[in-house]
Amino acid sequence: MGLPAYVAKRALVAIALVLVVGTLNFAILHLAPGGPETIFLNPRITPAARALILKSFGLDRPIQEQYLLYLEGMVTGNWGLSYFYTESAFNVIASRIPATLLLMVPSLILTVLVGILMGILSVRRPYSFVDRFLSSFAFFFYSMPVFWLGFILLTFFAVTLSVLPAGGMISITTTGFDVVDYLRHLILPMTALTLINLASFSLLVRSSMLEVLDQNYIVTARGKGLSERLVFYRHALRNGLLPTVTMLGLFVGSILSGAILTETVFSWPGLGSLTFDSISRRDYPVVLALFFIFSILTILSNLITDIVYGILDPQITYD
Amino acid sequence: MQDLSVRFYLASGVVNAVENLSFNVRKGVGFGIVGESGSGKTVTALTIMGLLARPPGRIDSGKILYNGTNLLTTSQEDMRRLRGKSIAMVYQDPMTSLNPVLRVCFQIAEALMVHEKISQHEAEARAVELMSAVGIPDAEKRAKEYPHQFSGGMRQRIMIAMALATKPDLLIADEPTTALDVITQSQILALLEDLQRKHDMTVILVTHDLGIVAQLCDEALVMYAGHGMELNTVKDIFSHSKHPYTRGLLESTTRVDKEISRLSSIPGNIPDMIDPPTGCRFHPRCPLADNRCARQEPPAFLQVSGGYSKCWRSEPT
Amino acid sequence: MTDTSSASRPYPARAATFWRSYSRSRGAVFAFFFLVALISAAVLADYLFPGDVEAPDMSRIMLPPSFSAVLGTDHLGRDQLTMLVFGARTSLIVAFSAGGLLAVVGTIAGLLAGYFGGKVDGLMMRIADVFLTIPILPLILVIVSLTGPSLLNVMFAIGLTSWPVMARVVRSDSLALMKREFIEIERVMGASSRRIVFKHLLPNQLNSVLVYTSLSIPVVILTEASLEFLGLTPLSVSWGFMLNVAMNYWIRGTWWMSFFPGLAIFATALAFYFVSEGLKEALNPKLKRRRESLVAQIAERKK
Repeated sequence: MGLPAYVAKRALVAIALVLVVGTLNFAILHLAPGGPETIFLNPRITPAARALILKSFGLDRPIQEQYLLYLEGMVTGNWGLSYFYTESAFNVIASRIPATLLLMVPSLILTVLVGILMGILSVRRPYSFVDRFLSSFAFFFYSMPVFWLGFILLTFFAVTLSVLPAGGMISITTTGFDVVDYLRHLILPMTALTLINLASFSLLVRSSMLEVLDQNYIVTARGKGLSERLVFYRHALRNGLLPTVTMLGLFVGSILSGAILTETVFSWPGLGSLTFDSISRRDYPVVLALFFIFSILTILSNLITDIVYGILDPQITYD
Repeated sequence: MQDLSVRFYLASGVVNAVENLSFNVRKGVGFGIVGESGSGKTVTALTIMGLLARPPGRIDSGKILYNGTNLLTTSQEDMRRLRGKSIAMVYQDPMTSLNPVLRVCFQIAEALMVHEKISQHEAEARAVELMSAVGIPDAEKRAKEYPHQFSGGMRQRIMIAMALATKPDLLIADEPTTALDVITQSQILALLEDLQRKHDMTVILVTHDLGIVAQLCDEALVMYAGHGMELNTVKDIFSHSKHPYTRGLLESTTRVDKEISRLSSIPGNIPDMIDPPTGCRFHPRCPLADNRCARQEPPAFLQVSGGYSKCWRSEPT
Repeated sequence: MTDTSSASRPYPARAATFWRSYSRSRGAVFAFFFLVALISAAVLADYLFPGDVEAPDMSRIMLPPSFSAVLGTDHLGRDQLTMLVFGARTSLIVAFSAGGLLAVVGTIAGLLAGYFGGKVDGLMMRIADVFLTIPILPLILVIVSLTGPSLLNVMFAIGLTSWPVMARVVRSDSLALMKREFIEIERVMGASSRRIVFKHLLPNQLNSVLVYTSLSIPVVILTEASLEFLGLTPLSVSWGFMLNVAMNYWIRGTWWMSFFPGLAIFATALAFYFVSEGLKEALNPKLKRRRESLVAQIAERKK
């Protein structure tokens, strides 16, 4: 298929997915009791704002037009007006994205690095002590609710030991961006988020590697008299890690969901805690818009990992 | 090979893959191991290479003498040195036996780099030569490509090139043509024949196809249910085989030179390897079987040519 | 040889064999008893703990675990142990109902995809793909917050968003079965679609379906707990919600308010997971291949 064709295909799929999400949003909007009027037209907003929303979402027009207007709104950033903030939902969300990224990206990197490491260590001697230990470890954290873990960490380190800050991203007293302060605040939420995701990721790496080690070309490699190390690292690993790239894309979705819960526990000022707050405040436009942005982030990361995969897998790049 | 027994210890039972197998292969000879699928021939080949999956599989007895050394007692390290250098193997399924993410020239060159300690550049140059030697057109250009860009026949040639890279003394070929169409089959066989003569290589050819054996081999071993049933020169086997199983196999193959009114086949199925029949393993399907065959396993009766036949009927009177 | 096929022996013997293979996993045995205890406690809660569980008792607020309140009390003075037992009801109800829902929907979808193949299959898989790539928790959040936080809504939301995984499994099993000879024979003999599906495809997969359902339940429990944690529940006596409340008070050091409910969630999820492992051992030891096929399915998506 060739790389450019592949990328184009994937991009199209991504766009289609975004459309599906938009449609889903629209459907939910209309299926909810009360319909879009109750959702968008908060009785407390000013008449001017009211008129603006009526017009931009066409709430008095037939449904097909509403649909198109809604989709147009999605693209142009018109995601409704937040009740609470009296700003456009888009702005509210945009302002909190950086914070979430500051939590998610380090967590993602750590998950991947340690996950792959754990997977490799497990597989070098399958079913050995190391393997079973690591697998049990992974399995233990796999079923754990991330917010529980967060609470435990918080209570222990922040309250009992008072070693680490109790929440938030930066201390109130600092001005500007102090990296050390940020890092101190980062440790606990990142640990909670990473541990849980690490569990499932390392198990995925392990099973992918085990599958590769069963393949015929591994026998061929051994048959050439290559050392086990060479066979493992050069032949098995390269093939085994390839599906991992794809899995990462799917993983971002679960990291995002975990972030919602973690941010809430740690009062981290990102999209996650915004979700919690908006739900509590019944700020529906923001909730809807949040779903949309979460979906976009997931779709985008899937696209990126798909492209990276395409570059790495010769079966796609060539021919 | 002397008295080799290989068993697989599985949760569902013990599979007697190979039992008391013995044979001798002289240098430069083309030796065929023939049998239906499940007869234990692939296991035998893998055992020689030391590639047997050891946890479920176990070598319960026997010796494999290669140039005087017992391969079964050599260390992993030493085995590794032999593999790919003096003993090489070509595997059954060309579609899955090549690493999909490595370039073809690299995969061929790998054995050279490890065993002869030459640079990658040099090794890959040799690989290109090898590729044209096995009949891949445009070798120079195609060397940089990946396995999935080649057809099945080409991939098989690549595997052969890979095995021959270090000019091994012994080449084991496991069903090298089964996955290929007839035309490609004959091309590959011709290639193997040619290479064998050129390099004076000992070739052990594992197959279920008697036709291939006739074409390529000088001596052959017929296996059934993990036992070596008949061992003899190819000429002797084809003209006057002493073993009913072999004769059954011969009769069930189509011949161009004889007119056949009906294709015959050996009645029955391959036995369950966890619970094989008592006595001679073939007796349930053998037209000549009698009570003794069911009770007692026949020993290998030596023949004039130096081979043997494991059948009560070939007992010298 | 004696006939050991399970279908022909009387129930007690089958149960015994089942238990024997099930108990090959020690965790599964513990988990089983744990769940039995949990379910019994939840059912009998009214008798074990008479009185109104939600009634505040301001004289005993936020007491750490002690003799009189084994697991401490919450911010309204209510005994946590009682609350946990009552909370088990919610979790178990949602677990079983949402689990059942996703099993039914997923199985039907999978059977349809497997039986008809072709376009139907393609369509199903596209839909399943969509659910795979969209983050499920936010979707559920949206659905539940917009349609109102009732138990029914939660159940539907979770059940209707989690079915794709089950559908995938059933589909691949169905596809494989469809290729088998006995299906061909049935078709040639003119059997109706319904007959083939219900008499042949389904029974062969009941085991896998059961195992997979029990495997999905931990996720359901965690999701439901997350929903409650985020405030989307009408019940104040539920594990997740107890954690929501605990969030306001933990700074005062009331660790028991967050620790025990969370432990309950964790333990129950883990228990169901072990049960599924035990069921896997008992019903279908060949299920090990499943994870591998996940990797293969991912690769399949690429082309």
